[in-house]
Amino acid sequence: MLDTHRVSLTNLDAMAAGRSDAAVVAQLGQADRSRRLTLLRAVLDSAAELKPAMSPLPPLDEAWALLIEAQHCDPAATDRVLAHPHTGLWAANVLQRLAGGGLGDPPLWADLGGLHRLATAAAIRAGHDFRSRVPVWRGRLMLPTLGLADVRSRREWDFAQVHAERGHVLVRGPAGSVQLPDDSSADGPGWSALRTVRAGDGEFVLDDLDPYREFDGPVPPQRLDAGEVTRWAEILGDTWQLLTEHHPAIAAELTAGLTTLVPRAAIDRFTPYSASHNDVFGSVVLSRPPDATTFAATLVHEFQHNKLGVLLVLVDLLDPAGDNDSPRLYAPWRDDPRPAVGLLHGAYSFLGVTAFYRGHYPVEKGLAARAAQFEFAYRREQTAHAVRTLLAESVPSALGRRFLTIAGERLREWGTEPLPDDIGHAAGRATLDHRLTWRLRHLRVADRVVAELAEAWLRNRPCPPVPAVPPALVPAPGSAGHARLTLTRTWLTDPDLYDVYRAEPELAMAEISGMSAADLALVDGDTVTAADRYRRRLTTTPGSTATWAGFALATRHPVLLSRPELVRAVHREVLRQRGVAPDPDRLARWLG
Amino acid sequence: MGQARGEVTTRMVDLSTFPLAELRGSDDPALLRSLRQLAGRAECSRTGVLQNQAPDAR
Repeated sequence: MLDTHRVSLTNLDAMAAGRSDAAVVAQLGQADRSRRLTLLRAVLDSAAELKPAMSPLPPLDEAWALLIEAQHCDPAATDRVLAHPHTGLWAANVLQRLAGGGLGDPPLWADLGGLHRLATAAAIRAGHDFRSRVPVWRGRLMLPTLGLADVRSRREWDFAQVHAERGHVLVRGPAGSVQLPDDSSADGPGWSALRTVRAGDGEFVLDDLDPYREFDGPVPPQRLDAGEVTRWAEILGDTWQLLTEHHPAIAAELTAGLTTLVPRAAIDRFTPYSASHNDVFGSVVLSRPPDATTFAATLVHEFQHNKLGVLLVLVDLLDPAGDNDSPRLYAPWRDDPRPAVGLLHGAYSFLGVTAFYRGHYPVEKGLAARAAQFEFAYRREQTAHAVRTLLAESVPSALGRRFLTIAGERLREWGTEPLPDDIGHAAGRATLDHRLTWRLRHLRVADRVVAELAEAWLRNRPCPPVPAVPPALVPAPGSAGHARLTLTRTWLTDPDLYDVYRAEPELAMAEISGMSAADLALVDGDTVTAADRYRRRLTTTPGSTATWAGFALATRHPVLLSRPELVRAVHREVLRQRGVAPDPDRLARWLG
Repeated sequence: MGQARGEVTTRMVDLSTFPLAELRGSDDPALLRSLRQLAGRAECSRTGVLQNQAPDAR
């Protein structure tokens, strides 16, 4: 009988403690390979049972036979194609479609035809002579790990024929043919090759072509121009130098497991984009980072997701019988309530990021050191909070409890490391700000509790005991806004610009969406002015979440810091009944 | 999933050295067990893109 993968407790504990280890990543990579192959077998079994119509493509058996021939010719070349990051996700998606009857878009034959594309790419890489038929989307054929052939078609989905003989590969499409260059890693007429960028002795694929590169698909190619490729190569070169000089274990780990970078536009000037998928090992989607430190932190963050995705296939860290899927938990980096499994993923990613910045701030100087200290302190607080939440409010397995306990201990150790007071204060304020804002947006106090308290206030009575009914979770849509965090990062990283903002608050308000003069005073440390400005804002916008959170941070009223949603709800009810808003300080003191 | 001698045994079959040519026809119990587990997981999973912020919050 075949053996099964094993996970040593030593390795598991090391992962829980936020350590990077290339050997562990290599084992996870092997496990992911086994997972992919098993999923391919599952696709073949399911297709054999359901017999979906494959026309105009040949049966899947032909693709499988071609893949075996390719492996026979060149096992390493075939493995490279099988290790293509999206193979496992494709197989899982196809299985889901087969189980659901295969209705919808794209047509099932085109989706299943992904195996023909995979086998064809493997056979080309192996130098095998063959003929195959492959699906074409919008006139383009993507050959995984190789590139994109533009064979033209007026149909959304069509097919092409591939003929390889003695190293020459011809793709015949519905309205055009493409001869692959002898060196298929170079562009040619009708052929766009996947490009690579160097990272030390290794390289990463810079995938701007594959229709499935952003996980959901298909999406059209977004070919980077030569200048943009150069900029990616330069920033990656700087990042790799930083990692190999100062974080060699992280560099080794990324080399062992990460293969593909998928460029995508940033969300806005202050908000880079990065994403990964829990079924995809070895690929991350990201906007071009502004500097090497940010790039390194982004790679660490996303690759932590990659690692945990495979680990969760191997072991249950959360009890499968527990409520770990409903979005009900507070995640310090998300504006929306999260399921336990999502919070676990985020916690593990930020554990890695915290470890990175812990190792990084001592190697930086000046402003960069302060920025790294802030990120270390901020991510440490966020991750520690998430780990506590998971231990208290999710349903971990015994192994998961061990994992989380080790992570929590590690974060507590890191929490004792001294940092400059103003940095620690800024990180604490940012963490608390997010939690207060989340409570104000998503927690609703029971109407009868609010009515009873409002009545007592209006009758000038002492505050009655507040019933111990936990507020209900009522998720609010949309984003909370992060003006104070943006301002805090400006204070840390660009003091000249921050001074301009202080001198010209209108400019800051124009550049940072949702920012107020009160926020500027708060970040400046002038809590008296900030409280006064928030107080005045509450008279005109008494429902504003950002204003209530800012007011809580400026005044530090205990009840506003612990249950801001309660203060706002009673404030709102008194205003509704009397037509005049109560004094928020008096109300907070009365409730507290 | 079990725990013994400092390691966790998993249900994931190890195909590191298994030839592709034998994969389709194999009725190895460990492979079939993995197959059932992964296929079941894939068919009912709600996997998704992992981001620091909800896509609809941007």
